[in-house]
Amino acid sequence: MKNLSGFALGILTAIGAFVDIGDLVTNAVVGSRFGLGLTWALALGVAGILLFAQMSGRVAAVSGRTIFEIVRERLGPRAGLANLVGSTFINVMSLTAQVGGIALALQLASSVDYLLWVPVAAFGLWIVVWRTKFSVLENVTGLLGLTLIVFAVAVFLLGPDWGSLARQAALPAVPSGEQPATYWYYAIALFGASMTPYEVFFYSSGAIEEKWTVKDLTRSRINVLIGFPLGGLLSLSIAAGAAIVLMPQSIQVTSLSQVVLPVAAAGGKVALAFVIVGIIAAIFGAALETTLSSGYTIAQFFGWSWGKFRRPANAARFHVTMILCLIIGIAVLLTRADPVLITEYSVVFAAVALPLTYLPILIVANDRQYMGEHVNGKATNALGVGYLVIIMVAAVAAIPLMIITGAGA
Amino acid sequence: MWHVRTGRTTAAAALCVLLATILSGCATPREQLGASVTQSISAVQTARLAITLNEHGASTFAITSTALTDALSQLTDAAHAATELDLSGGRDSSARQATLALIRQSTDAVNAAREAMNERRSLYEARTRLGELAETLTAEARRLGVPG
Amino acid sequence: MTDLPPPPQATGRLLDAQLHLLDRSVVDRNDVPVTTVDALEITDIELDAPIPRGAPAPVITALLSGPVLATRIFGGRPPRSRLERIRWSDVTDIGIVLKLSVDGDSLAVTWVERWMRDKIIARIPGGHHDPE
Repeated sequence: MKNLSGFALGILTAIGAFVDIGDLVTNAVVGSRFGLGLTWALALGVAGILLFAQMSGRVAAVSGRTIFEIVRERLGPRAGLANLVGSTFINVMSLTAQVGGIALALQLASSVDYLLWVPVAAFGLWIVVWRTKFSVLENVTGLLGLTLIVFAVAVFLLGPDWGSLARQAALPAVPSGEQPATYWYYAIALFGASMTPYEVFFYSSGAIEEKWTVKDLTRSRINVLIGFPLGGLLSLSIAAGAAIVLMPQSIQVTSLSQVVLPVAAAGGKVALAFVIVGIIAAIFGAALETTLSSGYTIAQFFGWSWGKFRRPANAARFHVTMILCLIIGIAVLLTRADPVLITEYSVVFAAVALPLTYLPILIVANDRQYMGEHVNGKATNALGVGYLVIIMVAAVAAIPLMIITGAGA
Repeated sequence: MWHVRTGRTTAAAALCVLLATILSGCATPREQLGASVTQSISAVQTARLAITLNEHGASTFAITSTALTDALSQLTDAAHAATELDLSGGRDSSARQATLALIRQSTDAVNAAREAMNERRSLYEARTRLGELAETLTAEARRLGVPG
Repeated sequence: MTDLPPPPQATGRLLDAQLHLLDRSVVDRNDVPVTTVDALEITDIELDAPIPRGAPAPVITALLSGPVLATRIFGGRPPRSRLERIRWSDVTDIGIVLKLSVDGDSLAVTWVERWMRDKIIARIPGGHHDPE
C-alpha cells in the first residue's frame, strides 16, 4: 500500500502541477494563437520542475526537514521572510484561481452559474483538508485526474496533419497576426504555469507527511520522472487540440468553455463527460495542493505544528491559516472578477516569484550539514545554475512584457 | 548619502515605468480597432462552433450555453474597448462606427442563438447568420490593416 | 587579541548561537513543534559597552519567540514584558532541532496555538479526530 501511495504522490503532483487551471488555460490560449510554436517553453518548464521537485524531495527525505524550515535555519529570517511573503502571495493568488476554475468547470457540467459554485467548491476543499487522510487525498484525485488523457485521445481522433504539427513545434515562428512581444510573454506565462512554486512546497512537505527516508529516494526519482513528463504531455495535447480546431477558425481562447470544444469536436458527449470529470478532479487536486502549501509555508516559517498526519486540534494555527486563505479566495471571486483573468495573472506573477522560491532550494540542496553525502552532484548543480539564469531572465522580463502587450491581449 | 542613492534609484525606476507605459500606448487607433475586431471574430466563431457541435449532438446544453454567454461577454469587452478609444480623425471615426455596428449585429446574432437554444428551436438560421458576420468582420479586419 | 585570558576548560559542546540556536525549530518532549527560536535572552550586559575584564560571561537564560521576530528583522527591541520566554533549563537536546523536557501546552509561548484550538477548532466538528 505504501508503494501505491508513493506513486500516487508523484502522479498527483504531476497532474496537479501540469493540469491545474493555469495549465489548462495557458496551454489552450497558446495553442489557439501560436499553434505548437511554444512547445519548447513547455518542455523547458517540465524539465525545470522535474529538476527542482526532485531536489526538494531529496532534501526532505535525507534531512527530515522541509525546504521552508531549512531556508530559515540556513539563510536567516530576512531571506526566509522575503521568500514567505512572495510565496504566500503567489499561493493565495493560485488558490483563488483554482477555486474559480473548479466553479467554472462545475458550471460547464451543470448550467448553474459559476458564482454559486464558488462557496461550494471552497467548502468542499476545506472538508477534504480537514478530515481526509493525505494518502486518500492523493489516490482519489490522482486517479480521477488521469481521465484527462482524453485530451491526448482527442488529438488522435481529430486526425491532424502530424507533419505540420511537428514542424510548428520544431521550427517555432511567430504567426502573422501576433507580435513577437506577445510570443515571449506567453513563453514566460507557460514557463510560470509549469513551474509554479506551490508544487515544490507541496512535494517537499508531502515527503515528510509520508515519512520518506533515504531508501525512498529512488522512488522519488521514479515518481518525478514518470509523473511530470506525463503532465507535460497532457498539457501539450491541450495545446494541440486548440491548434487543430480553434486556430484555423481564428478563435482565441479566453474562457474554459472554449478549452473543451476541441474534445467535443473529436469525441462528442462521451469524450466531454470524461474531460469534465478530469478537469474537475485535476483542478480540485491542484486546489488541495495549493491550500496545503499555503498552510505549510507559513507554519514552517514560524515553527508551528503542521501536517495532515496530525489531528486538527494539534495543528490549530496551520488549519486556521488554510481556512483564512480559502475565505480570501472566496471573497475575491465573489467580486465577479474573471477567474480566467486571475489565472492568467497568477501564472505570470509565479514566473516573477520563481527566483525567490528556487534559489533557496539550490542552496539548501548543496548544504552538507543537512544532506551529508547526498548533496547535489556537479551535473545537477550545473543544470540548477543554468535554470537559475533562465528563471532570472524570465522574472525580469515578465512585468515589462505584461505592460507592453497589455497582459497578452 | 542614503538620500542621494534612493533618489537616483527612484528616478531610474520612474523612467522605466514611463518608458514602458509609452511603449504600451504605442498602438495606433486603427490597430486598437483591429484588436476589437479580432476579438469579435473570435467570439462569433466560438458561438458558431459551439452551435455546430451542439447540432451534431457532440456537445451538451450546458457547455453550449456557457460558450454563448462567454462569447457575449467577449463582444461586450470588444465594444467597450472600441467605444473608449481616443480618436482624432474623420476616417478613424467612421471606422469605429463601422466596427461598433458590426459588433452590435454580432451581439444580436449570439443572443438570437441563445434564445433559439433555450426554446429548443432549430439553430440553422443563427449558424448561417454567424457565418456571414464572421466573413464581414474578417473583411473589416483586413481593411483596418490587421495582418494575417 | 593576544591579551585575552585562555577560555575556561570546556566540557561538552561548543555552540554558535547564530548557527546552532537562532531560527531553529523547538519541539516539546512529544516531538510536537512549539515554535522557532526568534531571539535569545542573555543575562545583563551593558549595551554598546565593552565587557569589563574579569566580569562573568553572559549566560543564556531563555529562548525567545513571538513579536521579537519583527524587531529582529526590522530593528529595535520589544519591551521586557512582551518577551515570550522558554526557559533555557527546559532545553534537553540541541541538534537539528531543539528538544524540550516539557509539554508544549505548559509553555507561555504556545498561547496562540492553545487559543486557536480552544476558540476556533473546538467549535468546528471533527477537530479532535484523526484524519480518516
